[in-house]
Order: sequence, then structure tokens, then C-alpha cells
Amino acid sequence: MVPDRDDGDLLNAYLDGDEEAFTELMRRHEDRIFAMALKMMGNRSDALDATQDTFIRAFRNASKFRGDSAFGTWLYRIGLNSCHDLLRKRKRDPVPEEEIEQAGAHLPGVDEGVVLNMELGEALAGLQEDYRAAVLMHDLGGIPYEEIAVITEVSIGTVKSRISRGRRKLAELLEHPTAPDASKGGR
Amino acid sequence: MNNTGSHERFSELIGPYLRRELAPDDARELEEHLASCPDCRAEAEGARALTAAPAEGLTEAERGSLHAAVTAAIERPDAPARVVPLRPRWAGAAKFVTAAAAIAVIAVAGIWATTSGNLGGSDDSGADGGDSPAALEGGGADGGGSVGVPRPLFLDDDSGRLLYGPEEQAGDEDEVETSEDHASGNQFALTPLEQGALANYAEEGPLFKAFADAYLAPVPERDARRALLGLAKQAPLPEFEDQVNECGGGFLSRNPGSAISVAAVLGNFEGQGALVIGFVTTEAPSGELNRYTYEVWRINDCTSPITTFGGALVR
Repeated sequence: MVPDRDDGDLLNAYLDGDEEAFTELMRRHEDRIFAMALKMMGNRSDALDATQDTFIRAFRNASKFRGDSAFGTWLYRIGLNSCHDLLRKRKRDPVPEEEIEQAGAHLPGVDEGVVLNMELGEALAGLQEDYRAAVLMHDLGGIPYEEIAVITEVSIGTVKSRISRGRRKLAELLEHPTAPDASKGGR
Repeated sequence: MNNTGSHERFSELIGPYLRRELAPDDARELEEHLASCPDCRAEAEGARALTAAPAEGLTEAERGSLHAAVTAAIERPDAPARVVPLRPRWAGAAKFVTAAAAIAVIAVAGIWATTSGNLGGSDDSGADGGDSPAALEGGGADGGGSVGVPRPLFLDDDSGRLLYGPEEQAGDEDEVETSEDHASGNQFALTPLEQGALANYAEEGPLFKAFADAYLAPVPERDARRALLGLAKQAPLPEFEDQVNECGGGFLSRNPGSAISVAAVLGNFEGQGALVIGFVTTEAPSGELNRYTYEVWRINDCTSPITTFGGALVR
């Protein structure tokens, strides 16, 4: 185990050849990346592919991480790019529905939640890329405005605007009724 | 209230509100605003769609598959060996042919070369062990020029090095040595030529190197199950430790007392993460020196292997 080391330490240790550090970094971030990918891709198989691609890209480019943002944020950004690339690939070369059904039949916990995610994935795909990245980073990844501004290289004002517009567009694409029960998730 | 500044402020509150991190007063204020502002309400709906959908995590099988695939993809030549050779069980393995281990040193590396090729994504099955013995003969027996006259091989407790026993016992199938015999002396170190053969294999890639290093490193373990446990403990993740023990233990139960070497590797097999566990055994029909088997397992699944490779080490 690698207790009490922050992500930056672990990344440096990995670059120095410490395989355990690599494992620990994956452990820390894989669920969050997968959750994001699942929402972006709409199915577990593609989400797993995107997650895999994310970590491979990240570790192959580990030496390029400059530490301008948190490692988790940098990784999240790579994850978004991986999902985006895979979505484009799927658009060009869609997986036959039969295969999706067959894959789904073997997955545990395939329920309405997954269907909901599939709709969400489609709606997210309909967002302008800058908006989608900002919304996902903030609302799904919990990344603060300031960090998003750094990694997307725009002002905080632009980030806020993208998030606000992206959310509204998303609601529109999902054809959610704009009823005042938006608060039911809160207390 | 509905000026741009307040919209911006409420927009910032939506995230913490949905994560239930907002102070009650702020939450109430936001709720009142949402009730009267369609734009902010739409914004909250969009954000809620993201946070409300179930955040499903990876299943253990998916996690294992992910780790295996990523590990295999970024594996570096200097990655640590995850290979544990067993010390030949001189006393216990009655059928052990004394010459076998000398071949096995080279041959085991060959096994993993073949395995590595398949793991690299090639679909050529290799279920037909025919390819592998050829490769082994090429590297071991023919290269056997470099191995020289087959001699028993053992690990020297003092130096931790792999050493050959007395030459005159080569091919004497009836005589089974004990480690005590070796401890009494009359030992020969690997010749430079033989060391060179191992080094050549080491240059073929990380798996070869892992095997070569492992065979040259001190390995005190003499019991197959304990060696398997030791190997499992080197697994990069606990789930692999369990799986190496379970899948490998199954092989040992089916082939009691015959294993002289065990190794494992993670990789991609036909597009999915896989764990490969390989054994060299002494349970060989006459005419063969040793037999090797390696089983390819789905991650976290020891029900039945995806496929099994195997073959014989022949004289």
C-alpha cells in the first residue's frame, strides 16, 4: 500500500519506476473516471473502453503533467477527450444493435438507470464540446470553476457562462419539464 | 432579484445544492428563486440530470479487466518480474528427469515468448501446442548447443545462483537426487555461454527478462503451493492475488506433486484482460523431459480457462 502520498508524489514515484504508485493512482481515480465515461458513453462497454484509454493515455504522458492543476483534474480532462474520441468513432462506425443487446444481457444491474444514462449520453453528445466539458467537470467531477478555467485556458467568467448555458441546453435536450420540483434532490 | 449578478450567484449555488452541501438558509433562498425563475430552474434541471442518474461504479470484474489491460499497455521493459520459479523438487518428484531443468531454464522463457505474442493481441490460437515445442526446441535444445550436455540444475543456497550438478548424472532417469546431495558439493556454475543464452532471451522483452532474472535470483521456495502463494503476493492488486491462488491452486490439485516452475502474467487476450498462469511439470510421458501448460483466465473468473496452451520439452 502507498499511504499518505498525494497524487503528485505518486506520479513522480511512478515516473521513477514504482509500479505500486501507478496502481494506487488508478485505484484513486478509476471510479470517478468510469462514472463520467458511463454518463458520456451511455453503456458500460464503451465506458470501460474510454476509461482504459484514459489511463493508458495518462500514464504514457505522465511526464508531460506540469502540475498546473490537480492530477485528478488533468486526468478528468483526458477522460473527457477519450470519451469524445470514442463517441466520434461510434458515430462513424456504430456498434450493431444486436451486439449492444447481447452485451447488455450479460451485464449485472442493467435497469432503467442505464436507459436513463443512454438518453443522457445522447443529450450530452448534443452539447457544444466546450459546454459539455465544463458541465461534466463541474457537476459530475466536482471540479471548481477556478481549476476548470486553468485547464481549459479561459477566464472564470467564461467557465461560469459555459456551465450555466450547458446545463440549460442539457435540460432542453432531455426535454425535462421545467417544473419547480428541481429542488427535490435537495433538502 | 433577477438581475445578472443574482443569476450568477444562484448558478454557483446549484452544484453545492444538488450535492447537499448548501447551508439550509442558502438552500431555501435558492429554492425560492428557482420557483420564480424559469431560466435558473432549467439550469438546475440540467445539472440534476447529471447528478441524479445513478453513479454506477466498476464491478470487480470490470476493475480487474481494466487494470490488466492498462498494465499490459504501459508495461515497461524495466517492470519488476512477476515470476517465481520453483526450486526443482529433487526428493519429491520421482519422475523428474535430471536433465530437464537445464532445458527448462531456457524453455520457460520460450513459453512466455509465445504467450506474450498471443497476449499482444494476435488471434493465432496457440491452443495447438505444436508451435511452442518448436520454439522451445529452437531456443532450448538446438540452442542446446549452448546448453551443452544436459545436467541437473539446482539453486545454490549460499550464492543464490542457479547451478548445474555433476555432468555424469545427465540422463540417468533412475537416480533422483536430493538437495542434500547438492549441498555436499560437486557443483558447477552456469557457463558463460549458458549465461549468454539467458541474456539473449532477456533482450527479447520484459517477460523473457523477467523469467531470466527470476531464474537467476535466489528463490528459497521448494513447495509448489507456497511458491504459488509467493507469486500471488507479487500480484499488482489483491484481486489478482486471490485469482492466482485460486486458478493456479486448481492446476496444482489436478497435477499433484509435479510442478517445478510457476509464473504468471497479466495482459490482453483477444481484446480482453486476461491472467495467464504457466507451469512446468515433470509429469511427462517417456521421451519427454518436461511438460508445460499455461492457462489463460478471464479476470476474476476461475470457472474455466479461456484457453490452455501446452506442449512438451523434448530432448
